[in-house]
Amino acid sequence: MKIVAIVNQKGGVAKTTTTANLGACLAERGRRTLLIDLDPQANLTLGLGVEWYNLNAALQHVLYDHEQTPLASILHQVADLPLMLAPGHLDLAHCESVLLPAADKAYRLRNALEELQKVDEYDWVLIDCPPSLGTLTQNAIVACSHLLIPTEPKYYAFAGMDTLNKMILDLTKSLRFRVELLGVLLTMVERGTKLHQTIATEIRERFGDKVFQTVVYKNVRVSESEIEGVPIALFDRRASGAQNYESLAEEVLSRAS
Amino acid sequence: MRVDKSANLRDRLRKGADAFSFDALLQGVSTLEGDTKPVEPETLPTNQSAASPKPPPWAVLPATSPAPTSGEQWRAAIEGLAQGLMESAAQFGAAAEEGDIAGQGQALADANRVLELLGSVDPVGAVARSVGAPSAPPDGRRWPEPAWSISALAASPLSALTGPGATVAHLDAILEAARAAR
Repeated sequence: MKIVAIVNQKGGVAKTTTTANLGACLAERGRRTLLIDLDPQANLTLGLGVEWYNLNAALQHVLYDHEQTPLASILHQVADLPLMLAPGHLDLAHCESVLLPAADKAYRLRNALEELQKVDEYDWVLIDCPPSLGTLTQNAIVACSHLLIPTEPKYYAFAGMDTLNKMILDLTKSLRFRVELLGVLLTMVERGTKLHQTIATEIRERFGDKVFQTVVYKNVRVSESEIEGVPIALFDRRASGAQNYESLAEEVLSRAS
Repeated sequence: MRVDKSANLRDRLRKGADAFSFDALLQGVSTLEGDTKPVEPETLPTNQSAASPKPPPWAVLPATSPAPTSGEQWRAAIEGLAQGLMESAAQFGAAAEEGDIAGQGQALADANRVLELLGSVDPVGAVARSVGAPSAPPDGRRWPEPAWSISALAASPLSALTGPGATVAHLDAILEAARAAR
């Protein structure tokens, strides 16, 4: 099982869109895939048509006590695919304070996933991280095997990845985990913009083949699909956004093999 | 002379990016046993609540004193913590009988604090069992999780002392008092 944290502390870089659409494309290829919405904004949950505010149980209950609320008990199936969603909830925002005293607060998600593996097998788990580097993101990093970093081709991308690099180094002082970079994904790219091309080139020079060849361009159909509660890959296969994520899925599978 | 804006931009980008580091991302990291960078057991995982301003005397020992150096000292420290857990449970029960929410909250905060410490230094309760501590978890079980949420409190052995028919609002009030006391 590959567990991938989709992470970047900057908001608006298409973490959620990438999680939903990469997940849908992997599931379409027959891979059993679990999406985990670790962001209190719960946009992944809403974007896949699940109304978090009507749920009796969501991810925060699993993080508080996975024996009482196992991860398997909160899952929702997405579309007619081997694709499941562990929904997020606004109350995830309380996790920072509620889990603060817990010695194992950064291990809650990993423990829950280990229990889930005993009853269900997944090929891929994709974790949509919040735009912060707090306890929730720490849970994702400790639980995951790989990082996928979506980033806009902007100068701030370097600063953001430097901060993430520092956070990971800091976590090695106190936590047990192993993680490697699956790849950096250039997102929100505007076609024909020379500035984006220049910065993208510089990112590729710094990160080499860790940068996916696939580039995700800005595409209004992606926003429309979110309103419909369906990933773009299922909503409009001909849209460039769908094709970008199909290409990314192939690349991810190739890297993981 | 024509200025090459693109070249200038690239140059500035490179100079800026040179100030940053991406080594951990590019090379990956591991602190798991058997990997290249194991983390010493005493640093795993840390207890961030040990700096509480009002810890009971028996609860501060492992956090503020020099680390015990012998097996006997470890056993004595854990025996003291296990005893403190019993005392907190008794205080929790007594406060419940009197309907003293603040007292229950204080006792719960104390119990949580000692459970956090026990979870750090004797996670599976092996030492506590070896010294015959009455509050030690049975074989194959761990110490209960500290209860800072309703679900955790409901699952905690302390919930047996809240009395039958305790409502969610009642548990919530106890938790609020516990958070205020920590």
